[in-house]
Amino acid sequence: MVNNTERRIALRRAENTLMVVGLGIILFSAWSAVRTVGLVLLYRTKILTIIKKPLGEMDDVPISDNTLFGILLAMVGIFLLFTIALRLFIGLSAMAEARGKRSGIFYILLTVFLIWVNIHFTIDTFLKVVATPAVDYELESPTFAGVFIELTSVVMMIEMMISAVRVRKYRKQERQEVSDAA
Amino acid sequence: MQLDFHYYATYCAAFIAGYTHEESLRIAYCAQFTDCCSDTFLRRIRGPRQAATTQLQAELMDANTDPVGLQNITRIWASFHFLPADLKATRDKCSKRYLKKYRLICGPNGPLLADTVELAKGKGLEAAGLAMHVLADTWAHRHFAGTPSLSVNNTNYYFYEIIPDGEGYTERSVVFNHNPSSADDIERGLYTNSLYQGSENSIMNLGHGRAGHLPDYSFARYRYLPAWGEYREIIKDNPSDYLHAFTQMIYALRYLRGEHEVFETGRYDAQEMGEWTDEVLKIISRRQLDASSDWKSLGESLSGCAAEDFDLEKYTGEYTQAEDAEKDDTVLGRYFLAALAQKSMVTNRIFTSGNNLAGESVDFRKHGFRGMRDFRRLIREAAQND
Repeated sequence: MVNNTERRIALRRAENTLMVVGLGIILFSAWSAVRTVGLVLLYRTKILTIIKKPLGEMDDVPISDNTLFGILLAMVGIFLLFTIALRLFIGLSAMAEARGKRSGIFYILLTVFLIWVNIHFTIDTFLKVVATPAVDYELESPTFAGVFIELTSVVMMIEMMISAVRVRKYRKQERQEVSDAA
Repeated sequence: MQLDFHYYATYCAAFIAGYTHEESLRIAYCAQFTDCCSDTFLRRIRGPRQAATTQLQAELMDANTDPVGLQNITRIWASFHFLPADLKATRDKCSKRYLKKYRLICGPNGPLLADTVELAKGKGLEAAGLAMHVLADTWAHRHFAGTPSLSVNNTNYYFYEIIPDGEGYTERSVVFNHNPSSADDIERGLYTNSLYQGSENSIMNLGHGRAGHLPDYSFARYRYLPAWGEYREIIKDNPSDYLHAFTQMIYALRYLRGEHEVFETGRYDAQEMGEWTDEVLKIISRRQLDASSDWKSLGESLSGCAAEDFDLEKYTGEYTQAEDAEKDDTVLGRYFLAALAQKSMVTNRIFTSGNNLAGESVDFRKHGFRGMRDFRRLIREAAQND
């Protein structure tokens, strides 16, 4: 039998949003990885210069540039794995919830944490962009494009949270109705 | 729908409606031929290319999706496979552009169906066969539009097959893959559909591609969310729809034979099936990808004659060997005339409803001939009838 009550339609809409946004969060992690690795590879020399400044004072610890870069890549890799895993967990949990499988509240709490981190980072970046309008692109000079992308990510996570809450609310109402009828 | 229904079931319906074995075969051939009469085929036999009633996958891959290209595609698919149910449908809060596509959604018992059947009256078995193909597809392809449109024809993960289980039903999530060379697996619920393409006018979003072949299986029942439905689910009950299509074909064919004075939509000659009703229901409900052998057996039981298999080349020799002046009197020639008339009629109805998705239409009686040379045949035929 067809169920097209207003609440069920609203539930489907929220589930669909949750599914789409969950997938978007996963894809955004790929974008973050590509961006970070790209930056590290493109600005290898500049990064090494920045890192070697404090190391240069320690005369008894000679490290070759390649070794240093290798260590840097490994650290960036570990960090990226962590952020990708985090976003993957959030995205997959959202998609599972959209499909009707029960997901805990942990992924929503993680999303709140990520939103807080991203907002903090975005505001910081935005202030830098406004304060130092870049003519020649430098590693330290962020751009409006980067800010917009981060904002998009934040909006997506907020949308995901709202949809997750709605899905839980409507499902609870339906279960209540079923148990009342029984 | 596929060959099992368009050819063999149409043969059965024609015989039940009172046509002879040979006449029923001709009607069935023309019904199935509507799925084969492509531009490629017409080029090969040097037929009128505007009479194409379908497009092959290879042709669609090469088709342009600019406005003119989309009009060409829509003219074919809306005229022969996705006859619009209501060209005056309304919808709140949508753009004019969207409304035009929404109005092309196919469904049974629309005004265009009556026009289609009446157009075939007195035009021979070939026109009858073509009309039966269009009629049958209005049931199978309902809820999809014959124009490439993501916002109308798309489906998503919310797609569940409803399978009879004893006295009740169970539901199983449909898993779609995009490998056209792999056969559908009805035991495991694995079906092929067209690839998701985010572009609104992509060919992948034409007709029921996003639902795969499920609309063409008579046994299938499924629940899904059509893109135009605003999250309202639809349950497609193919056994019921196919039974309606079959009994309506009987009614329409009896009208074309002259046994009914008028053709009214929403009428079905179910009683004509008589003792064969149970057999028809069994064939429609049996879970199998191809019901050709069952329908063929039924047809042979009905007529007592051997129902030959569909052979695309059956009438091509007659057409290619005829003189130019006599081509229109061959089987394929008459079919092409019927196809041109159907295409012209549907395009005109869509255009005069204020919808330009199928292109422009000119009333040649008022304004003189303009347009494709192939349609001059219709003027000649109209002049002869006058």
